Amino acid sequence: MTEDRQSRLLEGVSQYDVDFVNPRLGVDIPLGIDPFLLYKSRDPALRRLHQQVLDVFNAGIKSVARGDLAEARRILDFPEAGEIGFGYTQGGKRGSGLGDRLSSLLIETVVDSPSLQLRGVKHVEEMQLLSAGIGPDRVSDIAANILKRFLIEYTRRQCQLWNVPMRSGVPVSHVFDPLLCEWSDSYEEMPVSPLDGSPILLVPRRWVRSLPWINYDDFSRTEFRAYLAARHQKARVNRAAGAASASYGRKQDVVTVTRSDIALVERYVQARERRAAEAVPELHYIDEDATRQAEALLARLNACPAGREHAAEYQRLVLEILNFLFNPDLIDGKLEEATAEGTERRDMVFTNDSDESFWNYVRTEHSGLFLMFETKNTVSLDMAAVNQTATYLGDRLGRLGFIVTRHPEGDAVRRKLFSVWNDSSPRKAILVFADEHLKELLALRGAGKSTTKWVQQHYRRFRTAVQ
Amino acid sequence: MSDVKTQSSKGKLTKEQKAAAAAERKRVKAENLREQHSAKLQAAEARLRQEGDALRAVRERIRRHDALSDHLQTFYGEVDKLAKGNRQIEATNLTVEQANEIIRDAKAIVTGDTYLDRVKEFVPAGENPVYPDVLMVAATVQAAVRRAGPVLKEEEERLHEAWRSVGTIAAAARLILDSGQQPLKAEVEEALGEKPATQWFYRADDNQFYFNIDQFDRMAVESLLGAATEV
Repeated sequence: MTEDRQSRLLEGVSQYDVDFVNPRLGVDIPLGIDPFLLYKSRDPALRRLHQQVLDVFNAGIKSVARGDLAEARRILDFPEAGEIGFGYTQGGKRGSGLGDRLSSLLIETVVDSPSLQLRGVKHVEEMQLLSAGIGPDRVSDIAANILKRFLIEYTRRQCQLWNVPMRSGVPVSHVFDPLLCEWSDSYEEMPVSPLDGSPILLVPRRWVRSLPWINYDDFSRTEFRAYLAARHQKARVNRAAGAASASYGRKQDVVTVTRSDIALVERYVQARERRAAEAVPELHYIDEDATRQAEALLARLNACPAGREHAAEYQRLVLEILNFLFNPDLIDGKLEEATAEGTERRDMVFTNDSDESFWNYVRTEHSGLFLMFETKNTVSLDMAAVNQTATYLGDRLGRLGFIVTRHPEGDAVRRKLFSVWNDSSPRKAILVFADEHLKELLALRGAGKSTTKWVQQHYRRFRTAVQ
Repeated sequence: MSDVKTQSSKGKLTKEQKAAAAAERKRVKAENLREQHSAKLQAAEARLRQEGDALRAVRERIRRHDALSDHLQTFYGEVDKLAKGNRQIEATNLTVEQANEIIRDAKAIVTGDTYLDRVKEFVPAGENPVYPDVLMVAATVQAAVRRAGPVLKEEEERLHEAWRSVGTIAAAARLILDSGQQPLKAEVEEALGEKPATQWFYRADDNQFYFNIDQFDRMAVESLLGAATEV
């Protein structure tokens, strides 16, 4: 265990096993919210959040366009979002006083670019290409501020799930209300840092990268370099004719060009959108040994007895295991408990937000944007469990479900699984994960190999056997 | 008959009475024989319909087999071209769909082939198989279809012989009932519409081939039809 691990908000649980970035107390993690990951998400709720960010930002741009700078300053007000604990300051937290400067930078950029006023932004990350003073952390601040309400709700949900203590009446500043289009301060029930009592906001792992997908470094290496190559060719001709040549060594020089030629930005953004599948959340910040974590989870699984009295413990453990195995392909696992006709149900629902071809196939073939994992802490799976799971598959939860249990299914249950497939229209598939399967998956994940491929093979085995 | 007996007890039957009794016995015998022939005809015709259905079914399988064989040859050829030099390229969705249809069709036509039984339809699940894998499966299916050809042909011949044999009996029985005569082979051939099964005929002293009515009368219907279909 590293020294850093002792100063995390959530102790005793691996970063691999939770849906959010586990904040380091007193130290920023060199990450940022990348709004592009919301833009490309398959979850309509996350795409709406991205649209919300754009709507706010473009409202500010429109205010500049009609000359109402006061209104623009009111809207484009993005102080540092210290609550999320992200930043590029080495070994500490970011300083204060940069929030107002960001507002001025944004307004100055928009004022200086009539073409931007006309076009607006399609991604707020474009501002990195239009202003020398705006970098990845500013982009993250913009998104964090506009989405603070969502992050508060998300934080609360995760703290309840993981038993993180919260305090009532914690002051949280600068929360945006999209209906009123206003910023306001509020008092919330939230976790706080034991170091200074400041509120802590948790951010989904699915949202974070060390550099946004649309970023200045990549832009200058690609689109702008091509632009320069064309310009140099022209400059050579001009020099031969006696004209002076321009130099673009500094970012300030580059943004002078982009502010006047927004088409450069447009082309670059389109190129990035075409390669959206390559934009994946960051994982390198996780400084834990995956192999050791896999072993730890396996040991806990082996030690968890089967039986109803340990059902809750088993369900929580399976949640951690599934997060370890499949995050960030499957995200935001929510626990559901219910009693249906006297039978206890313990399941969890994940959002399938993966770019992997198999999970994409699950979305299209089985309407599997949400995936249900039903946990059955028993050594002998029965027909009732299969019937129960089959009942819940459909339009809301898709048509591929999983039963996570202790032992593989017997012949009778397997025939029942086949008949669910054969007799349903559209077809419903239920796959069983037993302890031995989880063991294989943990070993794969611990070794840094793809767990998706294993699930794909498992699915194929089922589809082949049912033929 | 009782009157005759009464007469006998008082004395011998008259010549006319004896003749009448004999005629009656002959009439009853002929009637019984006619009923037997009719029963055998009905049984033979019922069996003939069954054999006809089985024969039509196997001929339909042969027709589908030949069509599949031809289609498979074309499919294999095209995939072979695509597989050359494209070892790790995923097959298109259309190629995979067609491969799966071929597997389904082959399994419907060819039964009891261990190697074909092992072949399963592709389940892409987000990644289509590469062309060499499709080619290999196509080759396996092609081999199974090729093996099935002679087996189906043999089955067709067997069923045709059985049909012909039962048909011979049915045609002969119909002729017997209609004419009361022992039918000639040529007459049975004309009624059947093709050459009859020869085992049911014998060459008489007049060098003509006649339907073996003695055998026909002697054998019970089950034995008759059993013998007919044991070809």
